[in-house]
Amino acid sequence: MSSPAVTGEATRAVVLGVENASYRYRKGAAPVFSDLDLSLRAGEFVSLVGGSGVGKSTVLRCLAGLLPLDGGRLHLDVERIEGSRRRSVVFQDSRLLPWRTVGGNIAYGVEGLGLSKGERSDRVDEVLSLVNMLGYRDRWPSDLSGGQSQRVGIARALAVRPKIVLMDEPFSAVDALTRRHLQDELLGIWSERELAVLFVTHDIREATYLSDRILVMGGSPARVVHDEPMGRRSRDRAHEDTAQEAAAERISSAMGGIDGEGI
Amino acid sequence: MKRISAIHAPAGKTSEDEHSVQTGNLLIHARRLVLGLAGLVVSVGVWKLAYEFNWAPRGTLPDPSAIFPALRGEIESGRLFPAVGSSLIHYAWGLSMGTVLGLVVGLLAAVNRIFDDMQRLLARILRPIPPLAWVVFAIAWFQVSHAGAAFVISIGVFWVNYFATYSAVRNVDPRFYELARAFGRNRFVDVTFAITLPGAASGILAGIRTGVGQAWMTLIAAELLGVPGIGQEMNAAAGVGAYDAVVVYMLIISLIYGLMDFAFSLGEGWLLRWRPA
Repeated sequence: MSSPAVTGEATRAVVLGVENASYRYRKGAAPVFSDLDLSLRAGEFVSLVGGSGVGKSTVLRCLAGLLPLDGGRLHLDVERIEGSRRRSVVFQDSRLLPWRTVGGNIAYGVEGLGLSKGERSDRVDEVLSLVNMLGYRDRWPSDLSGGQSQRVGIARALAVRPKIVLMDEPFSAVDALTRRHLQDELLGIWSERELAVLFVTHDIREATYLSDRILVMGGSPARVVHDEPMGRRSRDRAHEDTAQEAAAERISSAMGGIDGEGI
Repeated sequence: MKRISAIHAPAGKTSEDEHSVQTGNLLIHARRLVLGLAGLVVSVGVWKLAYEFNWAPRGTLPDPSAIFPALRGEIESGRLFPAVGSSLIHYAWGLSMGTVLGLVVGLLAAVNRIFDDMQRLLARILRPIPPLAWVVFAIAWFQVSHAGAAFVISIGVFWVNYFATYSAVRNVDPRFYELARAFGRNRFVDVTFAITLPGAASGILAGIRTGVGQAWMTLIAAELLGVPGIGQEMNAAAGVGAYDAVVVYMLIISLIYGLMDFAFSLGEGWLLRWRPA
């Protein structure tokens, strides 16, 4: 596996992907997606956008191994390192277990990794400080705001030291200001930890701000209808450049074009 | 009026507001206590009237003022504590057997489809049979013993816990199971202890709590058949017309149940302390 620091997108190895993939909820039902090709390279931030109900979250669940593909192939090419998981998931709802404290929720992900109690506790502190929530370790989830809950959800995903993080519209339920903070925190963590991120969102602005590459899903059954490379760049909200604007335009029309097609 | 405005204190309240909210709560509690005691006094008054004017057949309604002397009599005679102790033994056995079995069977039925389908018809046939109908078999199998009484008690408790656990487990949010899989925590035992039981805890505990009460109902009835305990003492007292002693035992049951329910509510509150206030 080549390091994300190596220049040139194509030289970086594909860590997660599907080929000719299809999925249906049950036998005989119309497929949610078919002929779907998608790949995520080491250290890459890819957003998956598309209208609501198009099947983005279903794709993410298949990539996470939570749903079995109906056809096609799934590659997962990451070395399994002791005390870590290869991929982890951040859900749209933060999905904290209400009967565990913040620290307990983060520990939940780590508990199956064969670490000692002390190591687990260190992991919890490490990721809590990463999301600026160190003082909240003993709080109950019911005491947290939406943004705080989502931070804990991200911390839980990071505590298992994954190389791939799959995020399902993680910021869609928080207010605009919190969302901006969380986006910037996420970018910081992503570059520091050299993560490959697949980020599902329906917000084109969010996708263009965060991503190296944006995939547009559309059609019925759905497939990837547009692949927009954003390139490596410094991310600056104050100066959204014209290239970014143009990309947003293209994505928007790719989404619109499909929506207009009908079945 | 001041109290009402304090209770509906708007957001951004001052410490003075909080103080008056506390005072308001205190007043509500005090009012409840006073009215509760008043209700008690009124009903004892009605009882006394009924006694004085012989509303019930003569000799079957004790004088309220005879209850405390009767209590002393029961203690001094050496009947009360052994009876309570004996009742508590089969109560504890019946309650714990019924609770554990109801919990396990309810849990298995809720998580295993084959087991669920196998037990459904059987449960439908057995459920309507009142626990006391089993007394005949209890006597045939266990004679007049603690085991027989415990058996009868456990049947009622079993059904309460079985249904409570079954529906509580069925209602655990499926998204938590998906979370468990996302983190590779999908072994049955692991999922049961980390997700299913805590997720169903509030329903399961409600079932256990109902069972704690249900067990008393069956206990007294089971003892009327001769197993030593509170029920048998009541029956014996009634046989000699000592209705004041019967009332003593009734109040003892109420007291023990009240203490148990209170202790249970403390435990339940601690276990479910994560729930928003």
